[in-house]
Formats: sequence, structure tokens, C-alpha cells
Amino acid sequence: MIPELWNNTLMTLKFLPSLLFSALLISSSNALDGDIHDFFLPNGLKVILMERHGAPKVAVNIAYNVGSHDEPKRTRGINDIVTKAIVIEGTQLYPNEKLSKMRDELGANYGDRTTYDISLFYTEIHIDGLDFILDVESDRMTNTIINDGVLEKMKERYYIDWQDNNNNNEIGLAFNNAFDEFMPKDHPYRSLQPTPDQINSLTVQSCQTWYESYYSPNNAVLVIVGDVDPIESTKMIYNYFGHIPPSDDIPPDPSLSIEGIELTSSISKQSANSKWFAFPGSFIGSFFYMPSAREDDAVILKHITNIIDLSINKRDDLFKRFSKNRRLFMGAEVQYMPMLGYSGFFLYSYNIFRTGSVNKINEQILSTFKYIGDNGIEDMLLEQYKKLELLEEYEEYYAYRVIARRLIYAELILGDYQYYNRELEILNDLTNDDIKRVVKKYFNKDNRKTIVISMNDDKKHWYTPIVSFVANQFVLRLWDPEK
Amino acid sequence: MRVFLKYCFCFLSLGLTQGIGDGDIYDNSWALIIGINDYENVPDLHYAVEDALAIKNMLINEFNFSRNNVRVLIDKEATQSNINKEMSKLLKSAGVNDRVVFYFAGHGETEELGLEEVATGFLMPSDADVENLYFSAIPMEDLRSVSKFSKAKHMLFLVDACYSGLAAVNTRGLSTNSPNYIDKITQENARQIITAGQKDEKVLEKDEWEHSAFTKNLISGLKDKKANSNGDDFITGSELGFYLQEKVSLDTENSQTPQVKRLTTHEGEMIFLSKSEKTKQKTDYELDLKKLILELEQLKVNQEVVKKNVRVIKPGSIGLFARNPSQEVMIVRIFYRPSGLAYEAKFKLNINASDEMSWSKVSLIEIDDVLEIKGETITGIYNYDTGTVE
Repeated sequence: MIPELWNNTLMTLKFLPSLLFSALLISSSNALDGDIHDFFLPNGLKVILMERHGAPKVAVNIAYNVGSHDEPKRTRGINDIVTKAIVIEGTQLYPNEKLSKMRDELGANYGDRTTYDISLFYTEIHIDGLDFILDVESDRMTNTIINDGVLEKMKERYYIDWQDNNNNNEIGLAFNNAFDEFMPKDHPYRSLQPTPDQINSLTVQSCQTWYESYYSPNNAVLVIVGDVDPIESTKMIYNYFGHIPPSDDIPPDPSLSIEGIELTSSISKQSANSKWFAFPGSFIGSFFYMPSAREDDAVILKHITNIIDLSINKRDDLFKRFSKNRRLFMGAEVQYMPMLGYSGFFLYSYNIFRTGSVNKINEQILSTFKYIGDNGIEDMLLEQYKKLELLEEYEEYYAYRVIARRLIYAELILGDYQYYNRELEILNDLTNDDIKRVVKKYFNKDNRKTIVISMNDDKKHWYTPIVSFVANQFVLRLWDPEK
Repeated sequence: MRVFLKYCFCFLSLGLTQGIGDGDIYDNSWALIIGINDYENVPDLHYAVEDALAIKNMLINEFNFSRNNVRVLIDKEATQSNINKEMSKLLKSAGVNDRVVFYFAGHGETEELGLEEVATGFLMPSDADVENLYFSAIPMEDLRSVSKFSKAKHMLFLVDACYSGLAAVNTRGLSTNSPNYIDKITQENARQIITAGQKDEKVLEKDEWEHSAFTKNLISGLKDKKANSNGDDFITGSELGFYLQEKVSLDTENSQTPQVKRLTTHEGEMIFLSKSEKTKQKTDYELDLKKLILELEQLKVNQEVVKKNVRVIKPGSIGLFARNPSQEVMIVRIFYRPSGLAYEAKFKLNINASDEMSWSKVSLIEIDDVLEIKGETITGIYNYDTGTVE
């Protein structure tokens, strides 16, 4: 195994002659599908290599242990701007236009993603492109251009996006604000979306310092999944990343705990005028604070969320219980946000023509969870969910980018890449007793925050309550637009 | 396969460039390299070991010295007895068409001995006793003896030591304008010595150089070919000496002036073949591979060198992060790497999870960046042979 080779001196010396004389002859056909090798480069870059030989392609993901939660208040949005510079501007060797063209010609699937906790750049490409992608990522780690011109361009771009959100998607904005409300005041997760003023105050110096501190080998994880020869790949990784100096001033992670923070139970209200819906309505959401994604309970809660989602889509008994047979709301969506500091469960119901009764909906949601806590999930629903998840797992077997993303997530969020399959492992053993225990523990009034988003309030007419009553009590119970 | 072919090409091309090298002048190249930081009876030095290792690597990687013919004695290995034994082996091994480089980085001492109180220079082995120099140190005169008894065609003694005064022969070498100059200096015998300074001068080491002034310039002179004053393909012992005299004096603001002498009257020159610019134009792959090999080589060298015990925090134990002492660090493993040991460690996170789950991913942290917590941190000694902490 390569990790031992590089950590154990004796083995390393064994590696020397094999590297020079015979390693080149090692055929990847000897390697086993699913073998994982991990090691550090001396500059601190963590490398995880997984062999999958079913398809001649490779996924290269590089993630940096930096997200918006690392941004101090005075530099909100800086990580977004820096990642934009990396992706949109690029480097002198690989300016974005040239890079996009090259990747498109090679049929690469690529993108980037920043979250509260991490910043990720991913590519899936034919195995012949591995060399090229490693060169790109190595170059982007060291030579991204951040100067006055680039910063102005990124600010302008941010401003245009921000305006689009504000002017054209008020409901989206209201939801963003709602999410922000769920984050306790002064918590690093608060304010994912900075204002243009905050963005304008960013300087080239601060962006460069941010880039140099966080976008360094000792703050990164490189994951390669695919039809790779581990020895050849290791040599390439050393060639492309070995020379990059580590950063010696990576700031420590801020406190992400919500312990001791008052999670107010008051109802937060937002209003939005939508161009899409010409009629009034409402979204009423319940947000529950959950443990860090680290905890097994967080994984069980994610599965519970998916089961509720399945139930809502099927409009089965569980959904009927949540909505009191749609007397309280006509539909609902459910989301689960596993995060490093804490996780969030979000169930929002919606009605058209009426705002709905917040108190009744809240009460009903809690009483449904109490029911689940006492009785569990219907066995058939649980089994169906397990089968669907397994099916998805088989479908993803050759989606190396998905596996690579799971490895990255496990390494940076769960603390060890070896947990990359934990969701599935927990699902296999998941019983109704687990579900009952977790639901009882986490779904309670003190752990909840409520949000109300009213749509098109000003479009109410004198006849609106009548139409609402008729629509919700009679028409929508018989006719479901989502079916 | 494409990459494989590139590497094959790389090996092939390396072979081709080496074919025109020192083999035309020497049958074999030998070296004895000594570096001592850690002394038993005199103050320690800081960069002598690093200097010695750098010279070893340079000779092997830049000047085609066979790894098997380069002997390195570091710290406690470099006792008087071991140095004498290795010099003796050199005498036996080096043939008539061979060259020998002797490099010493450590303390030197001068004492006025005998009835006439003649100043005699000594090289200080790791077990040298200042009160009993003659019997515990290596007299500089021994170098001359070795040079006389050896059959080797060319010998160069590089002595990076304090107080390294030595009575040497002030023979001038041949003028570079002499007819058939190259043929003569390569065929004539040579016994040259370059010392770091005159007696009563002190050898200067600086953290910013990570070397002594002498070795720093020795490396730049040879490796970077800066000592090649006339632009031909060779660096001669004399060229190197003059380069060092100029550069070391400048770097030390004239507090140290290297001495370039001959130990015998022979007029030949030690030759370091400066590879031509054409041969230096390697493919990226060649350079990359060479870098990789160097790194692996450094690992091997380090393994040979690190005989001393290193105190580390035991895996599983907790310390504090020196850069932010409020942050706890848990040691997972000890990571062995070319530049020294490091910890694979996790940071304590403040998140909404139980204590045992609240640790970050594993990162690489410098050994010095983790502080011990009194009464809590468990330490041990790192065993370089087994990679375990005992």
C-alpha cells in the first residue's frame, strides 16, 4: 500500500529500486477494484487514490478546507470571490477560456462548489487526461491571477448575480433570507450571501492573502478515483504538487457549535412578490437544529428526511398525517443539510390562496414526529426506501465523480475518508428502533425555528378567503397538481 | 503506455548524456564526507551535517560519483578511529586513474606543539578531546600523508573547519594558456586542498543560508557551475579555490578567507566536468523524475544520518498547537519525510458533536508546532528503524 510506503522509512527504501527499475512495469490489471491508497506529500497535501477499473476514466477532485464559515464578518464573501477568480479567471498558463476549451475537447465533466465548510473543484475525464488535470489543479493552487482588474471583474459579476436574485426571484431570495434566519446570530454559518457593499470592500491584498493562506497543499485533499495505476499516479502527483510550499499561517477553524446560543423560537416572517404565481399563498417552514454531520445520528436523520420525502411524493399515510389529510397544507418539501458545525432539518409546507395556520401546522408537525417516535415508520415504506437507495448505489458505481465527492466529504466533514460509505452502512442496519430513538431525541419544540414566507400579499381580494377555503378543503383534496 | 514511453525515453537520454562525462578522465571517483554537529566535548555546530549531506548529494547527482564509492560519516559515527579507518580504506580503494574528494565539516583546532612550538592544525572528530588533541584528533598533517600514500591521480581536500591552518606547498598550478593545458592537468597528478579559512578565523554559519559560508559557495560554485570562470566545460580545483576565496570573503565581510594550496608539487588539477548547456536541456519528465529520485535519495540519506534519539509525543496523546495554544491537537502518527519528522495530527473542533467525534481531519504538522501539556502529554523516543515510538 502506498501510504505505508511513504510513512515507513524501510518501506520507502524498498520503494526506491522498484520505482526506478520495475515500478513502471506494474500493470494496473493487478490492482483490485476499490483498493484505496492514501498518503501525505511532505508539503502536507493529503492524497486519496481509489482504483476503479471498470471504465477508462478518472475523477480528480481537489477540495480545500475553507468555506464561508471561515470568513470574518469584515470580509464576508471573500471565499466566493477567490473561488470565482480560480474558476472564472484561471492562471496565465490555463486562462479560463483556454481551459474550458481543452476540457470540452476532452469530454470532461467539471465544475466547482463552495459550501459553508469546504471549497471543491472537480473533473471527470478520460484516463489519458489525468496528467493534464493534475497540471491544471497544481497551477490553480499556485498561480491564480488576483489583481485589480480581476477583482473588479469578480465584483461586477457578483453584483449582477445578486441583482438577478433580488429582482427576478424574490421567492428564492426570501428562502435565502429564511436560511440565514435559521443560522443563529453571530454564528459563522450566518450570512452566506454577502451584500454588494460587503463585496465592494474587499481588496486585492485581502483576497491574495486569503488565497495564499487557505489554497495551499497542507489545507487540501486531492482525491483521484478511476482507472489509475497507483504508482504512475503517485509519481505524477509528486511531479505536479511536490514542489508547492505549504502555508504556515492557516487560521484555525472558528467555533461552529450552537451550544449556549439561544435558538429563538419566535416566528420569522418574510414576504415575496412572485412573477410566477399571480395568486397569493404561503410557505410555512419548520427548521430543526440537528447534530454535526459527524454523528451517526445525523446520518440516521438524513435517512429519515429521505423517507419523509418519499412519503410526501407518494402522498401516503405519513404525508396525510403531517398535513392532516391536506386540511393544513396542500404540499410540502423536506430538506436536510448536513454540516460540520451542526445540521439542519427543514420541512416547509405550502398553500395557494391562503397563508395557512402557522400554529396548527407547527403543532401537527410535532405531533406527527411524536407519532413516528412512538410507532416508527411503516415497514413497507422503510423497505422501499432501502431498495431505492441500493438501486441508486448501483447506478453510481461507475460515476467516479460521485465516489470522489463522497471521499472528499468524508475526509473533510466526517474527519476520515474511510467513512465514505457510512450512509449506506448505516442504512443497511437501520431499524425502526433507531428511527424512533432519533426522532424522539431531536424533533421537539425547543429545537425548532419557524419561518413564514407570504407570497403576493397585495394581491388579496375580498373573495380570496372564500376561494382559498373552497380550493383547499374540497378541490385540492380531490385533485393533486403534483400527481 | 504513453507515460511509460516517456519515462523510457528519459532513462535512455540520461544514459546518453552520461556517456561523455567524467569517465573519459577518471576510472572511478571516491569520496569521504564527514559532517559533525554533535560533539561530545566541545560546543555543537548547526549546519555541518546538512553541509556534508548536501555535498554528498551533489557529488552523486551532479558529478557522477558512484553511490557505493561515497562514504559518509555523520556525528557520532565520525570518531577518530572511524575517520582513520575510512581514510585507510580510501587509500586501498582508489586506483591510479581515480579521483578522491575528502570533505570535512566540523570543528578545527590549532595547537602549538613540540619544542619549537609549531602551530599544528587538527580536525576534530566527534569524540575529540581539546585537552589531548594529538591523540584524539586528526592532525592536518595526516591529510598530507594520505595524499602521498594514495595512488589516486587527483585528490582534493575540502576542509570547512575553524582554525584549519596547515603548512602546505605554495606551488602554482599550470597557466591556462599552457599548450595542451587540459591534457596536462588531467594527466598530471594533483593533491589540492582548500580550507575554509586561515588559522584564528572562525567559520561562519547563517540560518538564512542553512549552510556555512564555505559550503554554501562550494555548492554554488560546483552545482550551479559558477566557479567555471573561463566558460569551458570543466571546473578545476584551482578555479573552485579562487571562486571560494572571492565569494566566502565577500559573504563573511573578510572575516574568513579560504586558503587554496597544494600538498605536493604535482601540477595537475582535480576536474569537475561541467555539463554543457545542451545536455542540461532535459525534458520536463527527466527533471521531474530526477527531482523524485533526489527526494527518495534524501530519504535514504536521512535514514543513515538520524541515529540520535528524537523525543516525540506518542500517537493517541494530546498536545497544544504552538501557533494557537488554545487549540488542542491529537497525535495520530509520526510522519517520516525528507525534511524531518512531522506529526499526522487532528485538531480539536468546537462543533455540535460528542467529544470523541469533534476532531478535524488528519493534517501534517511540524513537530515543533505541537507543545506538550505538563502532566497530560505522553512522550516517547522515535525509533527510526521501526518507525515506532518507544
